[in-house]
Amino acid sequence: MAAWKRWKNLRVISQLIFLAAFFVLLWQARYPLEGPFPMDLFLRIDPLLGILLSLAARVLLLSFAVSLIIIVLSLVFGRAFCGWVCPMGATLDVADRLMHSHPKGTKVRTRWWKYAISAILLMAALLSYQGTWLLDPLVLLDRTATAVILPVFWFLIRGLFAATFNIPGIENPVYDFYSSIEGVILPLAQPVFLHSMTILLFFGGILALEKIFRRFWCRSLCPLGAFLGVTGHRAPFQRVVGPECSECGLCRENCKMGAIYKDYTHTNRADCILCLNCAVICPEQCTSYAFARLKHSPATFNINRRRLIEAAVVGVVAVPVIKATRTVGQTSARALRPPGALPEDQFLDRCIRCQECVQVCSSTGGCLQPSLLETGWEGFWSPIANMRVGYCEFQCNLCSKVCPSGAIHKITLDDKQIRRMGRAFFDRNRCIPYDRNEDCLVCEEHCPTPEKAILFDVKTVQAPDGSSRTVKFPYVRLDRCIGCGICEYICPLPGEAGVYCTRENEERWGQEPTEVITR
Amino acid sequence: MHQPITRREFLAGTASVAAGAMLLGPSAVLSTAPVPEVSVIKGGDPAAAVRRALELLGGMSRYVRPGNVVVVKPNIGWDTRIGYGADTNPDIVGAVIKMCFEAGAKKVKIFDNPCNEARRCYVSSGIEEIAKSQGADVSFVNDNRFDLVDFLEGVRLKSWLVYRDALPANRDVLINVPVLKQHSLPKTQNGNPGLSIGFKNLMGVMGGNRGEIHTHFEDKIVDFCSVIRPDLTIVDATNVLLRNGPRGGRLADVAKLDTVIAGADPVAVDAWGVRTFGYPPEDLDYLVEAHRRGMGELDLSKVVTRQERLD
Repeated sequence: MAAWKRWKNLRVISQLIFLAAFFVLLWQARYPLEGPFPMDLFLRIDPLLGILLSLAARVLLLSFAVSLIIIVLSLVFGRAFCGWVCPMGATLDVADRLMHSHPKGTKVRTRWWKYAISAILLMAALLSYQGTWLLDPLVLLDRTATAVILPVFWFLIRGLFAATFNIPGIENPVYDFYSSIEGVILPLAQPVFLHSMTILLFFGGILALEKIFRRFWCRSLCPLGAFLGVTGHRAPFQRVVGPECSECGLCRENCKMGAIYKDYTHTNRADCILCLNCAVICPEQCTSYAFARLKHSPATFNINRRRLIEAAVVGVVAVPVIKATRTVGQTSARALRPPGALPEDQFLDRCIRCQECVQVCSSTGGCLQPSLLETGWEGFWSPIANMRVGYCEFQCNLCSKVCPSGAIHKITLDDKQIRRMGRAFFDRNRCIPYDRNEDCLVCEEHCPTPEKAILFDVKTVQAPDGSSRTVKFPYVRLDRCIGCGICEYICPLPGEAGVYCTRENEERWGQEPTEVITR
Repeated sequence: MHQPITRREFLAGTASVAAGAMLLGPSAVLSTAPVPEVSVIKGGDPAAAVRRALELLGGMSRYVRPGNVVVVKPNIGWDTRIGYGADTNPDIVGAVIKMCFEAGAKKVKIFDNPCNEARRCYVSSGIEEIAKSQGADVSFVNDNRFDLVDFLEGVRLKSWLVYRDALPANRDVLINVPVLKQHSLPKTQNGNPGLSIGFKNLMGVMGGNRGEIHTHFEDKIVDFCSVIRPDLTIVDATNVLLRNGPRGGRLADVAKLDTVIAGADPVAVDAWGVRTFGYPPEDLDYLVEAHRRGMGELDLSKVVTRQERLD
């Protein structure tokens, strides 16, 4: 029907707008952080995150209160969020189009998985392990966009420009244009994430599943989809089929979600995402969407009690399995947390690995990275500072400003400038003055504390030719060092630096700081 | 520590300039005499001081010809606020750009390869804003635009990456606008603090692993500046970082010396910077090395210095 065609076009436009908005908001998370909209909005409208984080952290996280809108919408319109708003859904629709995936809408035996997954996550959260970060769709896309999509995009654009910088004739006008957008639209430095390949593989795997059938993720895996299916399965606004139905079966064949039952009349409202494809394709023009009172199917969730209990048990067992992999003393001392991070347990309760902090950091100091196992399995993909890739900029507290869950507490710049992330160590086997009796002192030059945390001793030493000369030997003054890592970043040695930062002496938010006295 | 110019010195300097000007007429100012000339202005607001400094040297038109492409290289190395002495005073940079355009410059380019994240430095230093308002081309240094330059006479530096826009082939004039500040690296005699002035500021047009320049700095920086030699150096000694340089961060470490030094001889200008800081120029090792290699005059008694105090 032409009217439904228009509505479907509107749905596609809505998806594209939200997808674009998602990337614009994420791209806003950069120095100087002046965008008009909160860059973490898409994360904070996610009720699943709000609930599971609050459960795991035993704190009511009011920053997620805005997600009530999505719950209320689902009570009226079911899973319309998945079909009209979700940027992950839009990404999958684009992928489906490119991969020519077929709906294969009839029998979906994996439908119950997503409820099992949700049950596992819920039980784990009750027992204080927050695992939502792995599978929440908005987090998933945020993480992939930050660590893979945007860096690749910038690499291509910057590479295209760079290729022209050596072509005589057009070099200067192109460079003038490039300069005018650099730092405004283009990032100044190429973001580098050491482990982004793991994030790409995970996301790529989800895309590959689309080859099995369309929206495999949304039908079978998405915990947010499951949540909205539960809250929305009795939504009054729903698919309505008139008596003119000739049972041609086109709607069922073309349903993205496989949500239409064999009688073509009834719909699984826990899965229908209101994409309107059935209404558009119906040759009898008897399919429509309206507020209606219809008997809902009893098999809505496709999961029986036994499976649900099994899933809950898995959730209970998963907690000690994961927690036992982390012993604080054995995780890498080089894995520094951002300044203002909560104490490690609370930090992991709240950190959803969305990489907003990593994204904003890549526009300034650039030290934050999604980790691998540096902080144990429990800390997988959580943000750590790699001071060889970047450093923590003394004048910057942006990571604390973008964290949607408060895993990094909002700290003032004054606080950040005295808050210790860790401390610097000199590796006297590698540090140039100790290694070869030559001056270097790049670390002392860059040390940003108003009173230098890197001091030096002037000693007369022997030069290779036998003559004597004075050389400056750097050392750390512990009470001044905040572990910002610029010394490690800027150390001119290749590979391992002659000075490096560890978590020793770190000062997490809310922890009683240990006083450091140096005489 | 630093010994400000005494009134006697000041009057003597001013009198000798006046006497010289009376004896020789305008030709003394306009001639490109082999004797190095430096002007030192104390007091006044920084923009007026730098303007006066150039007037005493014979005007910017002596260095910048109509149609020239000019590179002005301030110190935008650090993300610190104005007045903390880590970056060049923006008013001085703005005045220099204005004078370049008044002398007929076609284009004035401003850039630095900062130590902190570049955009932060450009904004915090106030230089980007004032340079753009004066019509200069402000750009960030791009990794793809460094060219390998051979230093045939280099003692320790045989070749290094230099920013393309700063190479003589791509500009007519290079004006170095450093800030005078304490820096622990440069070697000194008699326990005096090391200083970053003009020579050190030119590290901002270097690419590559610049930390390597720090080993045997005295040789390498002179090697570098013998090829990338500024046509004019203007030293900002208005707010001078005495300790915890080159980044600083405490106003307690900043001395208000309100001095601007200008001249074409990079050694003589830096020597005046050392004297302004308060110790003999012969105590700063790289200057001795630069003088030894004939890059300029270290003995300030052999430098024609025009000093003035503005209100």
